Amino acid sequence: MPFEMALPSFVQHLRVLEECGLVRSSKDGRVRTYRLDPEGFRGAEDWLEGQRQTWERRLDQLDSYLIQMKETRHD
Amino acid sequence: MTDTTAAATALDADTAFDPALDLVLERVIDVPPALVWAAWTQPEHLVHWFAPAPWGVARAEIDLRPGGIFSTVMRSPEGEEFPGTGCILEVIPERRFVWTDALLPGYRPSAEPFFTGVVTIEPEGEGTRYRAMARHRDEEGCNRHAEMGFHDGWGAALDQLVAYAKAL
Repeated sequence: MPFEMALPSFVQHLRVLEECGLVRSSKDGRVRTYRLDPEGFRGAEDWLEGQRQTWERRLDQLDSYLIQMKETRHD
Repeated sequence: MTDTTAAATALDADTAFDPALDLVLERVIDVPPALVWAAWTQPEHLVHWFAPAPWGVARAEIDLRPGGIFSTVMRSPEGEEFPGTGCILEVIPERRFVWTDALLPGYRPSAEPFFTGVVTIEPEGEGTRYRAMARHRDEEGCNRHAEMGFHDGWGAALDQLVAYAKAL
């Protein structure tokens, strides 16, 4: 085995990286191939850009939550 | 012009934007300012959105007054917890909320000053325009903060991938 990490953990980490836009994957039969996404990496190298992505995601979550709050109060 | 508006205007002038260190994000949402204020300043609401998924907020504590505590415990996808404690600087209900990790509660200086958050809220039609400004100390502080984020498992994996990508 080439890595110390077990396959399920590896897949979990790759899924997170894909959510962050650092890798993309495609499936062909039983084989899923992951490729590095150069766009995502330019972002990761730029510290402030990373912070911006964090904040954008945070505020997306806030906006969804606020809509939920508003609907709950009106019910 | 009321006193709070004057104070808010003065702070706007003070907080000149540094594109190398600061972020400003602005959103307009069809929700009244009171709800936006509650979501930012009440722990029971903050825990639902403050950590970017797949991270979560395990606990939050907010004592809503200048000098009061603003504390969050972030939980990694693996369940590891990262506490962060700061001090609230300014509270203008439904208008402005400012806090920093440069100070601990009660204005005691902290060991690793790095970040100040400024949230401004104003009504827009039936809804709200809100702005979040994140101000950071300097590049060195930024880099160290970035490294702190790489302690957990997937961060380490990311480090390896970045090193790999750079070597290509």
